[in-house]
Amino acid sequence: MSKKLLLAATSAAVLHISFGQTAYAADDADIQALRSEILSLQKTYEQKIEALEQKVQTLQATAKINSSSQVPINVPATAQRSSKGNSFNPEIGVILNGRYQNFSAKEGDIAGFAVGEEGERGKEGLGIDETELNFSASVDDKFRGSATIALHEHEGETEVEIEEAYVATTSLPSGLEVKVGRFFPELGYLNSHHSHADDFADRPLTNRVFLDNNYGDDGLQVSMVLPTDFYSEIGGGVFRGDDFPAGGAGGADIGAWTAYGRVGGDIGDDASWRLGLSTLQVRQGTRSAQEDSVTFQGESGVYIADGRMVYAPTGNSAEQEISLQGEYFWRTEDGAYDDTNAGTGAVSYDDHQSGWYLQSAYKFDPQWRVGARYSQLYSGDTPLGLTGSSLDSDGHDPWAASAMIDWTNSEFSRIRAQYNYENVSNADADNQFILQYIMSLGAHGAHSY
Amino acid sequence: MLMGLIAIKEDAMRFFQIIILGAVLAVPLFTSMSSYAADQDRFNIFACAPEWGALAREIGGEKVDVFVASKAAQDVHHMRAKPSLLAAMRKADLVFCSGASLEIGWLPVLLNKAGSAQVQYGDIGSLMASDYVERLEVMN
Repeated sequence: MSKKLLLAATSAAVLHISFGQTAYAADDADIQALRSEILSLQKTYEQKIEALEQKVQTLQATAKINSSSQVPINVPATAQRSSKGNSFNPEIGVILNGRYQNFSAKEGDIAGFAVGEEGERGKEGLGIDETELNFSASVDDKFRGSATIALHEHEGETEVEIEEAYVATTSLPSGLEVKVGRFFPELGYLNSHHSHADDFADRPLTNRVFLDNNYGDDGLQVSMVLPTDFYSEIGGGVFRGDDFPAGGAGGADIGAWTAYGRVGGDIGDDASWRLGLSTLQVRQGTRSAQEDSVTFQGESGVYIADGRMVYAPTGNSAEQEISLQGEYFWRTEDGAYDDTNAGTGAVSYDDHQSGWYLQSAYKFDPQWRVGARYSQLYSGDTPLGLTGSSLDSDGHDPWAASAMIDWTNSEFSRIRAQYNYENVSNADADNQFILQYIMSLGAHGAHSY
Repeated sequence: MLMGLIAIKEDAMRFFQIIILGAVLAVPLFTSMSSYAADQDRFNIFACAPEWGALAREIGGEKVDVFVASKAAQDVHHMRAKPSLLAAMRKADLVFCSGASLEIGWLPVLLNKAGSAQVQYGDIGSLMASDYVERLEVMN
């Protein structure tokens, strides 16, 4: 067996060597040729494969880009859907707020002034404030609209009040904006803001007395941000004249008009400021106040100087922020007052009153703020015919001081505790304690400065 | 007759008060408007955050004027529509921001009050970075 194997092996080896050598010697050139052919084939195919691989890669990449955006020549649909309320998806928000109030003085009447309904002190005890529904959306590419409907109870009955219902332009050139409908016009600082966004639970004495918290009316307002490097804006409006201090629209005339001018800017990186002058001119009309016991018939003009400054000590206003804000009011009235409770009859009145407030809020923690406010009124001289009436200040210039602390868990919820010391008449001072919550459901729109 | 004259005098006084108000405002206005007109010839970009401002400057170079609305330390979501931003928005030709409701607390106010037609959301001058990337964890 091994012999056969050995023979086979040797013969195979001999054959291999003899044949192999001759074969090798004979096809050397051919093999070289073959070899180079194979190499070149390999190269070509490698190149082709590389090219194909690159093509696949680029195709995949472009497919990815195409799938997550659209060619931005006209309107990227994703932008419109995500960024603003539109007619198919309006921003809807509900403000839920309520409070507990405790007063030490029986009466809260402000001496020397006939105050409208909203400007009064409020009720003691537990209760909800106005529940506000707000709908905001863009109407189309040129207009936007907003409606704020407030539901509140007055003397046991639920009242529905259209606080704001207006449309405004969005894309006029040259910094113009036209607003038409019912809204709170730009007057001083606080008037155009809703009360639930205030830094305090109530408005200062000046805004309560001169503007009945907010002057809101039906009309048209034009504003223009001017082409200056610093911020400057002017504007004005014409109104029906329905809300205090206007008297109720008598005829087809313009009942009231406003005008304002503002400037503002930055101080360094961390502070900003804004100053303004504005006026509200009320034409002839009849205005009732003090629970309809006092009427004023005539003209009046309110002039306001306002200022606000905000400073972020760490550079990030979400962490810490200090604000300082104040307004000075001057009101002229030319007409006649009649206090039916005091039985004065119509007494001619041509005089002025004034007042101011100064407040500061310090956000020392992202969620906590403290604030202090002082407000002062000057009622002017009481004419003889009005002695003993609501217009008789009895020589007392009303003033009030407030301190508050609030906890803001998010932009949607806030709880506040506030103490007021109100010295508004010659009677005992009023120590007020207020505890309130302000929460919002749904969309929470952008606030202006 | 006397009442009539007094009424006219009161009206005139009020009129002059308004005119004086206007004049007081006009003086700083005219001084600033001339430099503003020169600025308007350039291509103005309003960038909401420093990174978009840097990118805009990198791409635009000498041809653009970039205004950056916030500093690195500021929280872009919780900023406010302060006066200097309104002035800058007025002359903006392109608004370059993140979108996806990051600037929802203040950018709409600026666009409504001072923005021209072309920088409104969805128009040619509105560049929202989040429109061009794949967004994760989008709530529906």
